[in-house]
Amino acid sequence: MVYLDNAATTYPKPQNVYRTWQSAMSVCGANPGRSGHEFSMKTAEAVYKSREICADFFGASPENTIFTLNCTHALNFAVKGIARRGCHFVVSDMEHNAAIRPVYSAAKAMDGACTMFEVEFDTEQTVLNAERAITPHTAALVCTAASNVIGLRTPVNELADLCRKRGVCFILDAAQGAGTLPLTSENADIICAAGHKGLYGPMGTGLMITNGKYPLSTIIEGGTGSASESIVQPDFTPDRFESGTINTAGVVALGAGVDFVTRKTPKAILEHELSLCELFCSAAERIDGIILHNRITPQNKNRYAPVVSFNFERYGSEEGARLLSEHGFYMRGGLHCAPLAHKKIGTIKGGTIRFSPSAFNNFREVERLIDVLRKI
Amino acid sequence: MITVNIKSFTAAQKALKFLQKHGIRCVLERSLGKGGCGFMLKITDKNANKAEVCALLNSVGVPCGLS
Repeated sequence: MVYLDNAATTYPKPQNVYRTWQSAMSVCGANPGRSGHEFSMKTAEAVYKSREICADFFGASPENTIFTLNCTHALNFAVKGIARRGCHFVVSDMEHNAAIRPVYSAAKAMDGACTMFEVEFDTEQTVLNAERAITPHTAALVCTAASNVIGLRTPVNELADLCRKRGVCFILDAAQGAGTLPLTSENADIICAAGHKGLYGPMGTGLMITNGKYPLSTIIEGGTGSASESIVQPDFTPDRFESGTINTAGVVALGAGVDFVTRKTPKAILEHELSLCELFCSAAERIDGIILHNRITPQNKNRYAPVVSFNFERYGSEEGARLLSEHGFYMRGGLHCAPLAHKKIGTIKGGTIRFSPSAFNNFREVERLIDVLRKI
Repeated sequence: MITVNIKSFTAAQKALKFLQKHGIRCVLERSLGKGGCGFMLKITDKNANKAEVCALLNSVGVPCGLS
């Protein structure tokens, strides 16, 4: 089996992630931060250690590094937390439903509005498009670091500058960028990331990293193990956003995943994965009956995250993905929960098959995939 | 003994590690204080003084809730 669906979740995980998770299930078996006994305190220390690793990775403080269940969870905290009555959001035309749905929901609930801007290959034009969409009522610009469909990166630094200049909160959906792209808390006011994708943690983990500049209201309240006398949700982080028992083993193992990425370096992982994409694109574009929706080349690779969308001329995306699965290659077909991106590239009706390698894939696997594509 | 009340485990653990890094012996315990459940840093280092501990904690953004 060759797994190439890493944009959905990375597999396999580094050995240390498996080991840490398994160990945490027994060694970190008490409820962290809830009790004063040694077992609970040791568990809380393990959670803190992971929090510190994640905070260092994003250049943030441990207090502003909040564990969530996934990136969607983090985006809901950020978007709905910043929403105020009559507020306005700006979003890109490549957003995943994880971002666009909470934005639309928040705008509707607050009698607000939302404006979409076009991401173009030209950075200046993209920033200009975003700037035109901002109004005096804009609370936040919500933007993906890279499309989960065609891999196109957004100009994160330039958009961050724009938001700073206009006093708008920049919420970055780093589901497809964390672990490969150079993203730190300098890049955005709030970074939302999945723990189980490029950070190589288990599913059921995510992160919301803030710089503390924009106060967020809560969408979930409850027990935090702190300030228990009050019926009001704590105003200090991370407790404010971590009500209820966290996915302790998952969070501890996420630290091992981030440690793996840190050791390998995001830059080296990105280069490796983009090289696999280049090989795939250069070979696939010469196969009759294959349509590539984005081409990653040595010349343009600095504008892409390692994701390539393609189709068979003869088959729909789900059928094509099923055929590939029968040959032992696991890729995702369909809309990838990102209808906006599919509208943009004209594949909203049929979707695409997505090739998304990880640090664990190799050139031989891509060559074997190419052989299979030729046969199909 | 100097004790420092801290609301959040994260801030308390950060404070503990920072003080230890600066050679100040201390332990972290869960406590029931004025605002309900929280955490308490016990400074076991007899040479430490309140002003020094406060200055160190403030430098890493942990409020100095001395008691």
